Amino acid sequence: MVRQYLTVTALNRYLKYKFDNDQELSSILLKAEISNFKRHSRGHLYLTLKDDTSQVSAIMFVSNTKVLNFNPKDGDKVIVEGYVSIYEAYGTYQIYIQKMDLDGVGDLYLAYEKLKDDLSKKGYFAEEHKQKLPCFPKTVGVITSPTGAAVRDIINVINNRFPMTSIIVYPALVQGVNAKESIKLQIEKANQQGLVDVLIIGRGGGSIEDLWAFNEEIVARAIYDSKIPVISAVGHETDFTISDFVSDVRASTPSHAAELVVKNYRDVIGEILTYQERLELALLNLYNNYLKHYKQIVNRNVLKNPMRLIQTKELAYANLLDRLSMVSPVNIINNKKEKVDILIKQIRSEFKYLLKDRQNTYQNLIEKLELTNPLNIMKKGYAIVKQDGMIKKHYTEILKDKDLVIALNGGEVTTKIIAMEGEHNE
Amino acid sequence: MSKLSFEENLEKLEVLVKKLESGENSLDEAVKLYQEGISLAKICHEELKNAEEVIVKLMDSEGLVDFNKE
Repeated sequence: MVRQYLTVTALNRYLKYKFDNDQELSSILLKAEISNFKRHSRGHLYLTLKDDTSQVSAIMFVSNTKVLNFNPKDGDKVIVEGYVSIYEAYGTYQIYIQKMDLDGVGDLYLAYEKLKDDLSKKGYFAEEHKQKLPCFPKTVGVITSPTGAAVRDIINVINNRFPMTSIIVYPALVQGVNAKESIKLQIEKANQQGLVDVLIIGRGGGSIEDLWAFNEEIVARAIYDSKIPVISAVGHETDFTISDFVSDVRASTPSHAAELVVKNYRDVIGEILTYQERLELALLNLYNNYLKHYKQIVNRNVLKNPMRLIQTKELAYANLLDRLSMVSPVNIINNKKEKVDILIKQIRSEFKYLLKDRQNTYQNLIEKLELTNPLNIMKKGYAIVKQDGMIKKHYTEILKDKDLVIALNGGEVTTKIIAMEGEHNE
Repeated sequence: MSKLSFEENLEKLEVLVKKLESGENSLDEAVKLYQEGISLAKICHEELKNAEEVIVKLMDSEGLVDFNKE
């Protein structure tokens, strides 16, 4: 029997064929630790994956490294997805890595996504459950580590923006296994005590594990149940936690939370000045309206030319007399004339009353608005006539045998009456 | 939760401004509203200017204690 000798190449090719057609080996998931990590100049990663007792070579081609979300190094615990094949030239088998994540982070990420989904379905993030922040909180509660940078940032920013505010720090563990319980208890305590108007819950930046307490359901529940509005301020701008979604307001950082919680007093001073301007403008508008109204009253005919009203009535009276004299005997005329005389007296007294009333209104307006001054009228050439110290407004009020005082622009003149020649026949 | 007297004053000021802006007041009332508004604005402004520093307390297991800011 002639023995068949294989070439090494044929052997390796055969083994590679076997490996590549094995269902199990074409897609494997592996948990391991990295050692002998090397980055090739072309970007491929060469490494050894090991556990306590065994190891295996591995390669990750540069095309697969694009989706890596961490920088692999020796000692990292990883989870790997890939396939096993043979490198024919050396006859070594290795793992061709397609996907690699830090062990643990993947689990955390999945847990985060799941909780977010669950709580979203339960309505924890619903807009209608969100509370409004108070405009001017008297006291701000801060739940965080009393020794961290976050609390100091918050105090500094509030101090700079609105120093009238008080702050109560509720000390809490913000990382580690006991953090979630600690944060939850302080949220509940703040609610029971009712000393603060708004709560800031947070901490400074850190790894996803460091921030994990803010992704815990019991913390989310406590925030959801809080009657006091809650601002979540966890890590940096790019960190999103469950607390951010469930809280009433999300701040990107602790400093940002402090900016959201109190106004800048400089802006408030601006508001106050605006109110002052509005008050002044409103008063001026009102004053101008009254002035306009006053001018309308003053310009009415009855005040401008009071005699015209009397003249109109007298004309009607004369007209009536004419008509009576044409159609009636004398005694009837006389009879009617008496009645008309009475009537005209009534008209006169009514008119006087009306005139007086208007003048009173006029006078009041003058006093109120302090606009006019009798001296101004005199400057135009008008004079006031007085007798016995009383202003005389009508010819009939003048007594012939008494001195007449004429007040005009610049002074008063006392005169004697030489003749009286009124149009009146009373 | 009780409000800061400051906030109450600011709210009062806003109400006064709106009332005066309605233009439905007599001149006497308007002058009164104006004076009241200006004095409220002054009080608020003074209060803001004179505020000194935030008071920070720590809620200890025993109760409130001063917070060490250093």
